[in-house]
Amino acid sequence: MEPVAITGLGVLCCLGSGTDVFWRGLATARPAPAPVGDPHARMPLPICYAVPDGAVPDRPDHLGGLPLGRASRMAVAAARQALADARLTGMAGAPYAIVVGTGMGDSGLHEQHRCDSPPDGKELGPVFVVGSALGDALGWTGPCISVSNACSAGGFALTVAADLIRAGEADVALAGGADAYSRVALACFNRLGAIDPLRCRPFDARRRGTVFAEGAAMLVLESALHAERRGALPPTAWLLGDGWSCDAHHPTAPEPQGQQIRRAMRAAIEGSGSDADAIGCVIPHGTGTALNDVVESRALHAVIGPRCARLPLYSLKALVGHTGGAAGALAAVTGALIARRRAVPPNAPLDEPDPDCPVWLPDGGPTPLTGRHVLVNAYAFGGNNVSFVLAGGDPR
Amino acid sequence: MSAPADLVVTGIGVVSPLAAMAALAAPPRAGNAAPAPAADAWFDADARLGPRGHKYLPPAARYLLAAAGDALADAGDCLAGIPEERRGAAVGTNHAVAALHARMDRTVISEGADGLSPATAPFFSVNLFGSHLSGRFALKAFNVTVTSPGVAGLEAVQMGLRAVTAGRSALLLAAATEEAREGGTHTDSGAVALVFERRQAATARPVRRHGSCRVRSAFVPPSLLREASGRAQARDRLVAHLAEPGADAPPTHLVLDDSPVAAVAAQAVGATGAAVTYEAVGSGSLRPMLRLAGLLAVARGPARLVSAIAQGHVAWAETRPEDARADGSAPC
Repeated sequence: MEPVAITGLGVLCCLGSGTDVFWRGLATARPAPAPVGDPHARMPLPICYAVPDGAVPDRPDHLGGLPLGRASRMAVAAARQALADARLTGMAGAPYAIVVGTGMGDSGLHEQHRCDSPPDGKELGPVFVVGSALGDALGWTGPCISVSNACSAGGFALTVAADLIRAGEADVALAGGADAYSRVALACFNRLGAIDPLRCRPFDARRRGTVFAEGAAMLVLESALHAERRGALPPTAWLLGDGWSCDAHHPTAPEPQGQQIRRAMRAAIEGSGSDADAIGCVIPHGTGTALNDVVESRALHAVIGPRCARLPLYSLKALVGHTGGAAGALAAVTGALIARRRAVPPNAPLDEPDPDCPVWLPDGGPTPLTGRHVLVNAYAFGGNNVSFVLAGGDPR
Repeated sequence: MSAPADLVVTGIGVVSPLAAMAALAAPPRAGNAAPAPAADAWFDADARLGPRGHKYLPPAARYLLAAAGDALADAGDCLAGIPEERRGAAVGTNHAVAALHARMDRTVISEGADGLSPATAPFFSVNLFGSHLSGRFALKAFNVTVTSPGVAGLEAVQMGLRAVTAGRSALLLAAATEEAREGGTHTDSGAVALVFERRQAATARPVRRHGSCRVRSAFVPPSLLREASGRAQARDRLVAHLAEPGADAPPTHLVLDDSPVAAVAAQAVGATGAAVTYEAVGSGSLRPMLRLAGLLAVARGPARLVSAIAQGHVAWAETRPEDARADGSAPC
């Protein structure tokens, strides 16, 4: 696959706002989920890793006369960070593309209005307006796409944007994901018994499920030629290859043999123009859900081979929780930072590593990145899988 | 507009109360006016999907399965020669989950999460509507759900065709599905599905090739339109997309709301000199896809469909029937 340059990063999550805060937090912070501040959240475990209120800007608060919710505002904030990082500000009118992943869109706004009737009596607009909000805030005029593949939406958004660039439909694309607290989503996960009461602890023997989180992450993607012409090379990182697949198995459970997630990983590695030996770190999907972590661990061993036992994984959700449609994008930002800084941050320590998940999660301190590439996985309800390979510096 | 890699539509499936209402619209007997149909009365799930396997599916998932089944049946034996890992799906929707979310939320507020049905709970995630297609028809190459206001169905076609061209699959099932929002009109409910495959594969068996289809999209920032200069810029950009120097613009069907964005799109189409027809977009992503299916099914020459909506999304599809055979019969 043709390498696509990643020239800017932006992120908001429970650690705060900005990539510097994020990177420091990956190494040092140990946040815990907290009760949501929603009096109508009638469920056994109303907990979440929330973005600090001060980190979410008040604007934009409207799109064409309709109010915008927290997910849209977080997405715009992350986008502005990414564009500043890429030195691509003030580009209103440019035919650049936007591809954003979101599982719930601005559902939180609709839920709020259901309890507190709209002050002006107006009907609320569509839920999935995060991409629209980005397009209006930035003034860009290229394709503007909203991907809603649940927990893999951010990863799919990144690779759809890469497809756009490779196809010549855009020179620049902003890609990422955003999801905020939703009462409905959290209630449904409670009903399914899929929430860990303590914290998000993937690959721990005592994990009980996942813990939702708020977050937004955005990446600026460019064709290598465009980045070169404006002096943006070397970029922060390269997107070298990606692979998609679908389990076609079960609405919520992964296919036990992991055949399709293996296929996505292998396609991503093959697309990178290298092989599994070049992988120096994996950011797994790793949600803390019992079967998912086992299936992913085994699939990693099948794809990487015996070296998997000493290949560092960075378990992002153990720190920031499960940001839903943003998760793949947060993982992409993390992978890009790891590739650029050539170091894997220390993992949040496990209480009791699961022997059925034989993966290495170094937690004593930063681990040098010894391979050239970082493999990122993002999976979702419905068996919608995406994997991609990132690299820093020279793409090959 | 660059062509997707030699793909043709061989299957069309439409599930819509508009079709059912055509029967209802027959002149009523004197003194016996036809009653308004109930919200879901137009769709007989058992008749369309069989007696089992759909009890817990929300309406939009049922419509989608039925439309996909019809499209694949229309396409003949198209899956037989395509490995499961080479079959992709792209689904667009805006409101498939809206009414369900509202019902779920009221349950949580009044009874708590324990009042939710565990069978229905996974459908809080909008991608499950499309993911059922993969389970039913073994579509393992990919399954992507897209949700941009108004244009999500066209967006699914565009994104899916791009994915096929990139080599991610050999066959695409592209679709839109909606359940009308609470308080909305039931004519915004239904589903449309289209099967795309390589022309060479379609030519190898006796199946009708409905035509080819290309979709592109752009964004018109609504805030840009507050000033006359911004409206002129936006119109000119769209004209640049839509006008082909030296070529007559194809007859164009507009599917629009009443927003400034739609007005700019209509002006741009007008500037191309195309013969124009119009209909309201309604609520959700279904109406443009219904019209696209109609163009593919009956248009005798190149045609264009342009859809635009208040939130800034503009998408256009161009359809072209397969060349008629020398004897004048339909290509197959």
